[in-house]
Amino acid sequence: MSAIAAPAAVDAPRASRGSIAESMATHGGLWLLLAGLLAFLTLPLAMLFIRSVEDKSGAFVGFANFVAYAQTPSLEVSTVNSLTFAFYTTLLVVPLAFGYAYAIQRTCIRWKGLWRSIALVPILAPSMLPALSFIYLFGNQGVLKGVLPWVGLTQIYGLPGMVLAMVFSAFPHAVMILLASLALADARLYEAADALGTSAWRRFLTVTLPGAKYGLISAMMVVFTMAIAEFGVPKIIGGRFQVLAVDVYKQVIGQQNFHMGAVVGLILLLPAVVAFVVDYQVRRKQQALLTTRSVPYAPRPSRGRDLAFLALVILVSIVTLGVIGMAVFGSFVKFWPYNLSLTTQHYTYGFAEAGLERAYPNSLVMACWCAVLGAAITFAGAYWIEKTRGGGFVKPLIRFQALLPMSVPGLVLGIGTSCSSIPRATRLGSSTGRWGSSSSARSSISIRPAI
Amino acid sequence: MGRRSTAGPRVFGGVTIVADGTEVLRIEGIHKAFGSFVALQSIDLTISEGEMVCFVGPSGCGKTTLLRIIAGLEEQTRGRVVQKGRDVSHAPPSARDYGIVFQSYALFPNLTIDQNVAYGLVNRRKSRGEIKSRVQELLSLVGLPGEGRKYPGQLSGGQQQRIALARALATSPSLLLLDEPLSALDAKVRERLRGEIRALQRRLKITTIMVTHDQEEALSMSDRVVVMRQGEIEQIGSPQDVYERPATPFVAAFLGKVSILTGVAAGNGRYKVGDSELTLPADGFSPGAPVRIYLRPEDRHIEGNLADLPNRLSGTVRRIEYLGTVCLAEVDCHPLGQSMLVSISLNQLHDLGIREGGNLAFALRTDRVRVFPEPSVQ
Repeated sequence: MSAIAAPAAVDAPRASRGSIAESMATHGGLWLLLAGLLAFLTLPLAMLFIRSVEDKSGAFVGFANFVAYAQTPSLEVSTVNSLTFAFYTTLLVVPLAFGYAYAIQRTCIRWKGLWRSIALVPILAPSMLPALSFIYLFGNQGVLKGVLPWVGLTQIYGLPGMVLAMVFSAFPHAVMILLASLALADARLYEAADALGTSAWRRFLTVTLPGAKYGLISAMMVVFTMAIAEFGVPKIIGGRFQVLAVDVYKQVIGQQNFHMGAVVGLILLLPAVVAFVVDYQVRRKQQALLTTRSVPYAPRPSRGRDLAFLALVILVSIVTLGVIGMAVFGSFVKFWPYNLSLTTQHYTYGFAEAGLERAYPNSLVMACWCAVLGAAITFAGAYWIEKTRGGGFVKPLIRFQALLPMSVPGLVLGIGTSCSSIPRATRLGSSTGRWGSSSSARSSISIRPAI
Repeated sequence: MGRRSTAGPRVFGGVTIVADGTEVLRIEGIHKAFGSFVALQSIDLTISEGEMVCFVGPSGCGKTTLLRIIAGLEEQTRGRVVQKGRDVSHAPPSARDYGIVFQSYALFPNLTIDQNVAYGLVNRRKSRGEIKSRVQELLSLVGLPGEGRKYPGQLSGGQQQRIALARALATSPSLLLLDEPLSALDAKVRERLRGEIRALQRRLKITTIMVTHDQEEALSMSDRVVVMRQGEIEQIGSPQDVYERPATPFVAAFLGKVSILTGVAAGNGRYKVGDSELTLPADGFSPGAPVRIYLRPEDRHIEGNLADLPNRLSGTVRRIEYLGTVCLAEVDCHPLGQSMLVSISLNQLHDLGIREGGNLAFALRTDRVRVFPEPSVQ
């Protein structure tokens, strides 16, 4: 290794003269990738910053927009609401997902593959779907509306419905992270604890929980960020409960106020950045929990525990499938809730008359391009970075930018893109709207597998 | 190589330190099967108060399984474990009285050294002051006072293993179980810790069972060695017994180095090997029976007047394995038609001018030689 590194170090100063031109020739792909990332990732974010310190005519106004934001009572309410919404969602999702993941990884329940699949089903559904389902179930005409007073609620719209729907959407993400963090443990630690006469509860607190600590922190961060940036759920079931993600939409699309939109976008970015930094710190500190001498932990049957966790898993699965089933059922019902006979007329109507005919192919085409181009670009980029030599400062720059979408909610990026892709003071055309949405979809697609 | 130097003074004196012979642990007819694989079959063993016993054998011989059954971490298919008169055959680990140290240390990485050592004491609801003073005492006992605030990751492997030892000893168990405690360590650290563990064990007079695959470790550290092979006990005895008087060819070959000569018994302690005849103090074979003669490299005379000695041999030194203090010469003995290992001290190597390709004359030292029947061809 050192023998190879030494001559390279000697050559470095000599090569530096023509290095940029030379690097561009040999690392064309990397430069192209860098340009792409700059144009579609860094530039929109930079534009977000620039717009946030400009007035409508494009003149620099410093923090005037932020001051204006702070003085807008409705936006302040939204901020508090967004945080409350994200807080409750995290509070519910993470323990629930932990229990579910624990059941799969650390107990001897049967049909684990089935439970795992069911937990991941909501990932396939857009977040609007649970929101709609909860309206069908608990809304003003909901089938289970009578249940609400039992838990002290008068209606589902607003915070309770949003949290429920968001719990449903965020659950698979949290489960995936926690499944991974509970997958491996050193059996010897459990044996050492047992030999020292440890109660099951203390063993859980001192061995299991610390072992899953990083996964728990990661899951909390992801869920919180998802909830903060969530747009669909509050839009549908939020009622009059204002949140930032909807505000930003109103500012940009409704009022054409890009500058205030940019301010809100930056504020939305804040928790994501905090989450990213925390996650990065945590990962850096994380030491190998398993050494080559560790023996992987395998749970042993324990009747009471296994039955309890099986009950939990079945309950969660029934709710999951029920919520999705409700939406599917709702789509076939003639006229909710007055005429419950089944029909396919919504589908035919949707495709024939409500514009779905055009919108659906658009979505599919967009998704296909994302899948094909996204996979190709990611693969090529990773290959160029890992399998080519040299490249100098280009590689770290790409690496850093590749991490950005992990911390930037798609919505923020979308706003950034629409900020940057239209000339100042130009009216918003329909084409820019589409541009923005495709960009945010792209980033959210890239976020999910990356996490 | 260092076997004789480290083991020599300590146990070859023939002293077996067994405090008073009171039975601490009795294992009766232990049998363990994992599916169709039989890990242990009919193991019987009694361990006395204050004794240090090593289970030694190649990997897969069942030694670790036996230790884990004693610890209650594995359940036997059949048989009983009786600890101090109490049948603990089916008791969970927490209901048995022992401390255990694993090869991988298994310290709780998120707890400080103090908290690790105190772990078992907290489970027993000892008072804070009591725990504190006991932890201090144990940390000085293992030679690491003042490291209590650190985390396991900040200590070296050897230090971590001492902490694991302190944690195991914290509750003053009547039995200490060591599962290959030194295997993960560097050679130097291993050698030092070997001595320290043994000294500690003697000082505390704690009954100890150690599992190891390292025969040198087993010989140098234990009062009694249990040699295991394929789920069965081959021989139980003092290090001296098992090394000098191995009961089976396996024990002879597993502990230390041996040269195996094939020959034919000629009656009255005479054996025909190749073209020559050896007279050995081992009998019981009818003339004509094929045998295997097990000789240690040190079972030879190479200095002084060899002419008067019986069983004189000579041959060409094919290869010298230079090991420092003691070297091993592989000698092609012409009359035997076989080669054998001869140990030569560094001084002899130089004084006698022994070199590869040269000639070496020596006489067998036959007091420790073992003769076993040729295993029947299967």
